[in-house]
Amino acid sequence: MAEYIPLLLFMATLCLLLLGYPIAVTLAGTAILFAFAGLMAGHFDKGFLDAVPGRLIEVMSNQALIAVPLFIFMGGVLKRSWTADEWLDSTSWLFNAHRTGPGISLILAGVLLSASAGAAGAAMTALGPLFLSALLRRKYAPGLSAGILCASGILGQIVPPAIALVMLEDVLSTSYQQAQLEMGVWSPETMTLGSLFAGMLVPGMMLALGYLIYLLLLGWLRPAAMPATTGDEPASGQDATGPNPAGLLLPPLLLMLAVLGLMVTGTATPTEAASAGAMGSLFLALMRGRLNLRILRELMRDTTRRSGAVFIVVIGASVFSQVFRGYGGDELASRLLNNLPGGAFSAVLAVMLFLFLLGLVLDFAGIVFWVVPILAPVLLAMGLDPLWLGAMIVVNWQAARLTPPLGLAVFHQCRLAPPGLSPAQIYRGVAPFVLIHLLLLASLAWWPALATWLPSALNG
Amino acid sequence: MQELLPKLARILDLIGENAGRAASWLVPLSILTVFTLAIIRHTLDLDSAFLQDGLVYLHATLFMLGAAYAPKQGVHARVEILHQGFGPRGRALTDLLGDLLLLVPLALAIIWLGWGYEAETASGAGGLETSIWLKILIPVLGALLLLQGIAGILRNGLLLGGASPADAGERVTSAGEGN
Repeated sequence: MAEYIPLLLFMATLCLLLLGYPIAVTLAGTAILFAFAGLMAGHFDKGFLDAVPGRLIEVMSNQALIAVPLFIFMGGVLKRSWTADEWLDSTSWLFNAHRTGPGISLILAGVLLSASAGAAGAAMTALGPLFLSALLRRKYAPGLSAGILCASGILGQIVPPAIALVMLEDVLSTSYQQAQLEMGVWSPETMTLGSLFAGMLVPGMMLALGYLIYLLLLGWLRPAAMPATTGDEPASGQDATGPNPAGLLLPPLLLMLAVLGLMVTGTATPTEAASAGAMGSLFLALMRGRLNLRILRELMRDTTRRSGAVFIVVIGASVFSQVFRGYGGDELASRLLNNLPGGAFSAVLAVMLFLFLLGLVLDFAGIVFWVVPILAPVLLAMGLDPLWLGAMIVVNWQAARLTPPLGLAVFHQCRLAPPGLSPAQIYRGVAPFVLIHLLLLASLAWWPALATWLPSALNG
Repeated sequence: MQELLPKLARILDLIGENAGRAASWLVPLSILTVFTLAIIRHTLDLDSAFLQDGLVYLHATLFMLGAAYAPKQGVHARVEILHQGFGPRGRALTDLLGDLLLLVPLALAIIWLGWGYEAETASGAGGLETSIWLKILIPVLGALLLLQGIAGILRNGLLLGGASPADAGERVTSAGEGN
C-alpha cells in the first residue's frame, strides 16, 4: 500500500491545484504536508527533507536558467518599443494583397508579439480586441477571426525570445543524463538549447505552413468567410504614422532571427545569445526614442516579476520532487510506464494523453518543471530521442492550449470576447487549428526525423 | 484593531515589494555581465573567473528574491478554471486556506531546513565549496514567503469578515495581470 503514496501525493496536489491556489506554492506546500505526515507515521526518511536546501542551491546556481530573465527582458523591450498597432500596420502590405492577407498578417504579427510576451500566460488576450476588430472590419467570419487569434499566440511560443524552450531544455537535458546513466552509458551525450530550437524549426515551419494552407483552402471553399479586400487602408484602421510601415517590422524580426541563428549554429551559448538579444533590443528601442529611465525601471521590475513567476515554480517543483522521490515515486512511475503492454509506443501515448489533459489547465512552466522530470527519464531510458520527445511535448501542449472549452488560449478568448461572439463560434473557429496541431503530432510520431534531422545536420 | 491589521498587511507587503524592487537592479547587471563575458570570450579568447563567479551570485540572488516577489503580484500562475467562478468571497476563502495550510508551513519548513543546512555545513565537512551567500538566500526566501503568507491571511481574513478590498489593505492595482 505504502508504495502508492506517491500516486496519492500527486492526485492530492492536482486536486488542490484545481481549486486555484498559486501553482508553485501548492506543489511545494502539499509535498511538505505529506512529508511531515510521513515523518510522524515513520514512513518517510528525513534525509530527503534535509536534502532540500542542497537542491535549492543547485537550482539557484543553475546556469541554464540565467537566460530566462535575459530573454524576458528582451521581449519586454521589444513589446514596449513597438505598439500592437505598429506590429499590425507593418504587415499591411500583406493585408491588402489577397483575401487571406488579413489572416496571414495577423498571424505574423501575433507570432512576433506573443514571442516577445513570453510564456507567461495568455499573451494574446491583451491585444485580442485590437486584432479581432481588425479582422472583423474586413468582414472575416467572427469564429474564424477568434481561431486565428488564438492560434497565432500559440505559434509564437516557440520563437525566441519566448522562454518555453529554455525551460524545457533545462529539464530534458537533466532527464537525458539521468536516463543514460541508468542505461549504463558512461560517456553520456548532451542536449543543448540550440539543438532544441533547431529541432523545433521544422515542426514550427510546418505549423505555419499548415495555417497558411488552411486559410487558402477556406478562402477557396468558403469565400464568404473571408471576403476579398478592396481598399488600401492600414491594418489597424488608423492612419499609418511612418512612410513605410513594412520597414518597422524588419529590425525586431532580424534581431529575433539573429538570436535564433546564434543559438542554432552554436556560435554563442544560449545565455550569450540572450544577452546579445537584450542589448540589441535596447539599442533598437533607443533608436526609436522609446526608452527613458522610467520605462527602463518598469521593464526591470516587470522582468523580475515574470522571471520570479518561473523561478518560484522551479523551487516549488524541486521541493515536490524531493518528497515524491522520498516516497519512491520515481520507481513507481518507472514501473507503471514500463509495465504497459505495447512497450515504448504505449508509454509515449499514455504520457502524451496525460500531458494533454494537464495542458488544458496548467501553464507550461507547471508542466515542464513538475511532471516532465518525473516522466521524461523513464521514456528516455527506453532509448527515445530527447529532441523528438521535446518536440512532441511542445506540440502536444500547444494543441491542448487550443482545445475548447478548457484549453487556456480558448478559455481566455471566451472570457474576453466582445458581445456577439459566442463561445460556440470560437470553438468552431479554433477547431481546425487544433486539428493542424494534432496532425503535426501524428506526423512527428510517424517520422521522428522531422525533429531530429536538422539539429544533427547542423552539428555535422 | 480595525486600523492596525490592514496597516500591518500593507507594511508586510511593502517589505516584499522593496526586496523585489531592489532585486530588479540585478537584471541589467546580469545582462551586462553576460554580455561582457561573451565579448571577452569571443574576441580575446579569455575567461574571467571573477565575472563568472559574480554572475552566479547575481543570478542566484535574482532567482530567490524574484521568486519571493512573484506570488502577490498576480503573475503567479494559478489554475483559473474553477477559481474564476468562485466569486470574491470564495476566492478570499481559497486564498486564506492556501496561505494558512500551504504557504505558511512551506515557508516555515524552508526557514527551518535552510537554517539547519547552514549550521551543519558551516561546521566543516563538504560544505566548504558552497558560498555562505547562497546558503543565506534559502532562509531569506522562507522569511519573505512567510511575510507574504501572514499578509495574505490578514487581508483575506478581513475580506471575509466583511471589510472592503481597500479597507483590507489590498493594493488596488491590476499591474501585471492579463499577460
